[in-house]
Amino acid sequence: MVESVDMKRVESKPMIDFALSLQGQIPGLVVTNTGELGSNPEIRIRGNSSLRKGNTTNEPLYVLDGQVISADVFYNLNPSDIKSMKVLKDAAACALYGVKAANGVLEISSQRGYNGTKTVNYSANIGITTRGRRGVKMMKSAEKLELERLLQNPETPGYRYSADYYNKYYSTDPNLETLIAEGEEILNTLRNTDTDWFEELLRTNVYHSHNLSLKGGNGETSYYISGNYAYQGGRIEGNDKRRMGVRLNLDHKLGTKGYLMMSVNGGFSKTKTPNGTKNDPTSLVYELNPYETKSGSLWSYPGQTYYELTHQYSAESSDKNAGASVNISLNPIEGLNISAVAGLDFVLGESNQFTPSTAYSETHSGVPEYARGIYTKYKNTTINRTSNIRLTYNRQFGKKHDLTIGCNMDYYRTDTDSELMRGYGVGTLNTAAAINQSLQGTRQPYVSAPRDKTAQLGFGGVAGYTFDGTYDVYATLKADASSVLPRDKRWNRAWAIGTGLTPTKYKMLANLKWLSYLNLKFSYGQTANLNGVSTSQTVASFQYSTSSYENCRPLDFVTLYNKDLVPEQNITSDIGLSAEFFKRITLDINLYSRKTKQALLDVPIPSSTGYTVLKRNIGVLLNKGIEMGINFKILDSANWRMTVGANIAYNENKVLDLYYTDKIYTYEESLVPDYEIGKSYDMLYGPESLGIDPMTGYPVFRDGNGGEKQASSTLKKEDIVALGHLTPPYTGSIRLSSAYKSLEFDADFYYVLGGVQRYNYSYVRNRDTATKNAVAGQTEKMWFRQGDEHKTYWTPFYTSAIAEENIALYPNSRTVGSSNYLKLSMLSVRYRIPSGWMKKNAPFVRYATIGLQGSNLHVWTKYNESDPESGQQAGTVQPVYTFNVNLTF
Amino acid sequence: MKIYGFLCAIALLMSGTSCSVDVPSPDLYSDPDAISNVQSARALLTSCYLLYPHNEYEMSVLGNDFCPTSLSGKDIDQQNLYNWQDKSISKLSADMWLAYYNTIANCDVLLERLPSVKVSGDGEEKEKQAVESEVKTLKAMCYFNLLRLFATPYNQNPDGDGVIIKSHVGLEFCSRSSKRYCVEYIRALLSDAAKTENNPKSNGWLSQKAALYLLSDLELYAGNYQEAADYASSVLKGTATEDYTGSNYAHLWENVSCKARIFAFSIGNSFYSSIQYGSKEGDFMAVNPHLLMADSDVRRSSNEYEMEMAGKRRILLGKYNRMNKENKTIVYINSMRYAGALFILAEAKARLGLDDEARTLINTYLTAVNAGIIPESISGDELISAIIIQKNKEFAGEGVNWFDMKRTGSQISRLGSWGQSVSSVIKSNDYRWTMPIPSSEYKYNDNVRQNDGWHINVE
Repeated sequence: MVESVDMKRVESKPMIDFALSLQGQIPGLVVTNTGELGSNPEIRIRGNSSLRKGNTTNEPLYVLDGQVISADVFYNLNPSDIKSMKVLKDAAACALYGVKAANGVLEISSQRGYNGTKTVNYSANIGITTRGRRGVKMMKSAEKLELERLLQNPETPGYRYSADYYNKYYSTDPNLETLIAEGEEILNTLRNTDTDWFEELLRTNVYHSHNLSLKGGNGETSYYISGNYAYQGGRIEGNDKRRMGVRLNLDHKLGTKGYLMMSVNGGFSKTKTPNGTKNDPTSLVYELNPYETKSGSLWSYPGQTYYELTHQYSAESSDKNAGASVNISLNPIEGLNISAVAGLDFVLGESNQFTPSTAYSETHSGVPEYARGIYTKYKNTTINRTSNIRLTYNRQFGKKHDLTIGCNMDYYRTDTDSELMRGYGVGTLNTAAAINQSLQGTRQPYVSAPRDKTAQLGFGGVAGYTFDGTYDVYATLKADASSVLPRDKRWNRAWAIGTGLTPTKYKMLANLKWLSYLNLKFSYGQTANLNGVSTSQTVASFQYSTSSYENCRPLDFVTLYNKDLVPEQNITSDIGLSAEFFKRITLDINLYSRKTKQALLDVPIPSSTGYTVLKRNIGVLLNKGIEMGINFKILDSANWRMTVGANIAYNENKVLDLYYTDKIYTYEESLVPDYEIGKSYDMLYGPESLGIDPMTGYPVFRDGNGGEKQASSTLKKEDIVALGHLTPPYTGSIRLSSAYKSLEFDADFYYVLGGVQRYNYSYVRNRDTATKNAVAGQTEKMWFRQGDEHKTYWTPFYTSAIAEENIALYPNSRTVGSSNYLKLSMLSVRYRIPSGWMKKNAPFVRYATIGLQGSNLHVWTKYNESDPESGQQAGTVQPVYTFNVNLTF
Repeated sequence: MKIYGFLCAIALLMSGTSCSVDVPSPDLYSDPDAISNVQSARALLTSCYLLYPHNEYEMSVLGNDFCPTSLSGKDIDQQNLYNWQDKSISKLSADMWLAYYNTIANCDVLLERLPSVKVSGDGEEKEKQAVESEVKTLKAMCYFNLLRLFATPYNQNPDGDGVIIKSHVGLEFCSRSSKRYCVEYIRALLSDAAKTENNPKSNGWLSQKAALYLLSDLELYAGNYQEAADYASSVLKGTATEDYTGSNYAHLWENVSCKARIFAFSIGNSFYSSIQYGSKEGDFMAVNPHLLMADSDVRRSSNEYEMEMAGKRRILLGKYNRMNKENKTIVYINSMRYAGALFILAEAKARLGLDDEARTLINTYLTAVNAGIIPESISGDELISAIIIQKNKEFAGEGVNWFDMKRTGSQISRLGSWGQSVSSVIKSNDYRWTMPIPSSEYKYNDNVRQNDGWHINVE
């Protein structure tokens, strides 16, 4: 199953992250934003194929012009350089890529030159990015001060200056009345300040991108040259991303029997962020009080100033990449094609992190002043080498028979070389030169330089036969070896078979008016998956460490290994139907099932082994689903064109079998197994809440027998129910295109359905956290005293340790929300300036279009905490509005 | 066309010959060649030494070594641990369980690979034997500590649950062996180790004497007093009292090798810093007033540190704490000292009924350090108690006392600030003397039994 991405639509989305602009383009290709601008997205084809979470094990393989490229290079591709992009989903398509392609393949072909006059094209998008959706509405001063009074925390002004406070602590003071009056005055001043921190901390920013390309050629040689630059500012100070890239593609004919293609490309991208693991200025939107200002002292962060809070940390990361590839294609005799590709892809990733000595975390770390300030620098070079040779022989005979046989050999090698340096005592200087090298103990300078090399070698064969364009069958077989596995079990096999039928070729169906095309397909195959497995997990491995003992250098045993480890086996079957009705409506339906046998997982093991987890082949996992796409050409006349398209993908997963047990708990405190036979593995579990008990102020849960259970009693497994899917099972898009003469209008909507996210309620304050701002309406919705009925938030006064633990550890049915959303992900209006006008006024321009384009303009969702997509308060895709101009000379 | 054919042939040849999947990771040494000579075996052993956990401070907080200070309330975790709160003990026990078994697993990794280590010449053969002896001693130390932490005292039903004895590196779902079996297993390891004549120069390597010391400690634990006395005597053989008193005593808390030590862990990280709240403000814990030394005692200047806290001169712990306060780098953590062997010998003799010998031994030492001696009127059980009190004083803050108190079935008092009052007493039969098997074990191992009194928090 191979599907092509509509590159024109991708190009119409003004956004700097190329990968994110693929969202909703192909059913089953799910792209999810994971945080602020510049963070790596999550790209999955038909869900997670592995029980192991994360990109390393579930990300597809990226191939550019036959050459494997790393994910970082893919994220920063320039959409204008791409001619076509294909998504390979099933075993039949992926089998030829072997062990690397277990999660599907994204095949990209770059723009090439052509035979003809030289064409120069310039396009630009210039505009703004806005703050995005306001997730949670926070309190204004008057409400916050009233809440503080109710919560009775003397560290908050609302209580400290209230009459309640004076009456309690100064009841015998002769000046009581004066004190209360003075307090009231202070409170009044505070009430008159209303800072909207959403507006203050977040900002609108600029977006611009420029692209210049040149193409042309003569009979022998053709070329394509391009350069691009894009910049997107983040919504918080210190967050932005820029990238630039150049590309040169050269094609040359080799006599009459072949040609040579060469590509050279280079790129640069840089992301800055003020958000670290300990500090997150975006969260200040939900923490700073409305009665506080940028210049005054802060009740929410006593002893710190606004400037200090927003200058705690800075990080910068950049990727520089360069690639070159050569492709020789020869047809020595008719029907035989030999092609060889050799490619090199180089990425230099650099990042530095800086915590100044003035950061609160440093001034309160207990280390002496000369040792404060942390500077970390990390460099990583990755070199991917690809070489492959393909021989394909195709022959048609007897007018109805079409036979193809082929074989290939490919070799991939990845070398990574990293350096990490961390030093202390840099003070406020963001440079390695300021590191205090004389420090000893925990703050002594640290250097490490891990390297890794892996290689894969594969041999494959393919055979296909088509009869009369009506029936086709094919088979592929691939054997490949990985350097990660011990020598004796290095070789893996991948294979696939497929068959297809086109009934509209039958005479009886050929003349049907309503059915212009019908094709049915079936494929079945198996691929192995070794992603995320390292040598040290399969065989005892040792590594020198940086510490020392009696002046001896220790050789560390890396980790507990599993010598029985084998690759995961993905068995995929796929049934597809493509049809066209009235030559206007196309319909594609695909049903798939992917069974992952020998699924790998880091499973907890008894700690008496000395270790807590071990990578094991633990069971069988099933992903199945359906993908549907429909496209309706409503109007297609000389002046009017209009098309509506929609697609939907559904994915469900289930654990079919576990080899050693029937359930696996990955955390010691888990009440419900994370993996259990017959259950989905991305469920969120917790008790069902019946609401807040008016007597205790804590929730009442429904227990296993249908009765009631107070939150203050220990939860049992029977009390836990499934609250919903963390990964939304339904995703899809709706696309609209219309044109009238020279005016074009396009819009894309993206939606997800059926998932839930847990509310973290960090903006609901209790007595201890009352110093920080709270969600608007909390005073109304919170339980404060016995008899308060129909409340949403539980008691702010800590009265039961078990209840607090139950609420903190497990979400319940009232602390999760549906993460369904609908996003207007692209809107584009373009006008092509009539050629007559151009000839008169700007004769040097051949074609010109101008337009307005926007991306991620609006999100409709019921999820009322921050961002339903990333589930984070910091991370939401920013809306971008731009003016677009495209000129061809 | 010919030239293109030629080019293609070169391309094919280049890609064909450069393809190999035999690419070893450059910084990783993997079996079977990783541990093949004595140098790499020693390097792996070094890593095992570094993995050994150091909970000397936490065990002292649990023991009778300290009393709270005016600052104790500032660190609620330490205060909870001092008060033997279930949750704090559970957390500490989980950390220690994993760390000791991790060290054991790494020792076993080395032991499983030692037979294939090739040697050339006598020097290398000796070194290989030394490595084998040291790794066995280190492994025995881990098991011995686990047994003392996680099993009830030996004299209460020696056939009751001990700890898990691993048979090989890797996944096993073992049940707990009996205490008797554990002792036999540890004895076998140490007896093997003690056969090798290994006398390294630095304090950081486990010598033959260290194996003998551990044997004497093990036999004392198991109630075999004659054997304990024999082993302790052989440790002390050839050592004069001067070697571990006077200036040699002071060297124990300085960053040099010293004669008074049998074995000490070499460290590169900070140690014992948890006791201090702030260099100006003072410590969370002070020395238990019952364990203070006499003014004339020569050990006093090392063991105690005077500082003004809450408006008065207070006696805080010296030793490592003093080194931290004086910004001296801690290089060694004392693990076995000659004084320890002397106390084992004295106690064993007293328990064998040889009161005079025991008293003479201990009094010779006390005289040498200028401390008050044990009068002749004291004998029998009283003498044993007096010896143990002296031992507690000697080892205050070194994480030793808790083990002796558990072994001898003592009760422990939890004190108020500066030890001026007793806030509670932990009886000798309290379930908390036996640490709980952590959930990281019982949750994933159905064959293991939890200790009495501790609940399994998740079913």
